Amino acid sequence: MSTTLATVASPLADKLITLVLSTSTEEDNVSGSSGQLYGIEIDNTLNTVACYIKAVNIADATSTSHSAMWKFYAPASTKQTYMIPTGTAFSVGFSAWATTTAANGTAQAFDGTGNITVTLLCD
Amino acid sequence: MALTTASFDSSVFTYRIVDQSDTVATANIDVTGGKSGNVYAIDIDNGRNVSCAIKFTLTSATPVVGTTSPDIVVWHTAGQRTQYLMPAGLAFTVLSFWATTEEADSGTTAPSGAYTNHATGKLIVTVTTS
Repeated sequence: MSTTLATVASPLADKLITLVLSTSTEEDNVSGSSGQLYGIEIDNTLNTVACYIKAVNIADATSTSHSAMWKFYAPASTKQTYMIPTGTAFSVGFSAWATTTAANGTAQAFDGTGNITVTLLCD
Repeated sequence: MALTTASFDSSVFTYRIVDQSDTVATANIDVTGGKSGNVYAIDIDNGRNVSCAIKFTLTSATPVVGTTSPDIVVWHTAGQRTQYLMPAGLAFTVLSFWATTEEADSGTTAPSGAYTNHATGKLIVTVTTS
């Protein structure tokens, strides 16, 4: 028996991005370029209300006026993971924000009392 | 549009597979037939030649396309096939879904047209639940 460790010359996803969100203010172009999203983990364990992580393929987004192109849900007090083996493309930039209401636009709100930690796996 | 839900003998296999072979802007409501559970996987094969948003609700008994804010939205470009896997499961009481070409909640336009060389030219959504 033996163990061999090899590095991958061209990794499938080479960016691991952590966002700590506590308002519905958007985090713009978090990967700094176009790419593919392969996974998202939402740690909502610090909140007793459910949350929605909303994202758009826009480099400079405005959470109150842009509708979510991706919306990922995490129940209250839980950690939820979405894996996307084939990836989903964003051609301009991946911008995201958090809310505790499903609605888009000015109807959305953030009523959480704790931070939401979002980890993105992308290239 | 054709919605098919396959259940298995619970003594053998507790999962359900829901397949909509032509997803449009009409809500597929309560696709598991009154059974609550967890969503474990969503497979989306966009055979349409337009990008579209596939929208899911997890609790609403009567979601209305163009009015109800979905709980989950995933955006798909034309011809793209993508799987979303939720290893821990995502709980639902009433699972429903539809698709529109607009990401906005108010969107009511069904994806149309066939993507070149796609086998069916339809938007196929397959969901695996408990």
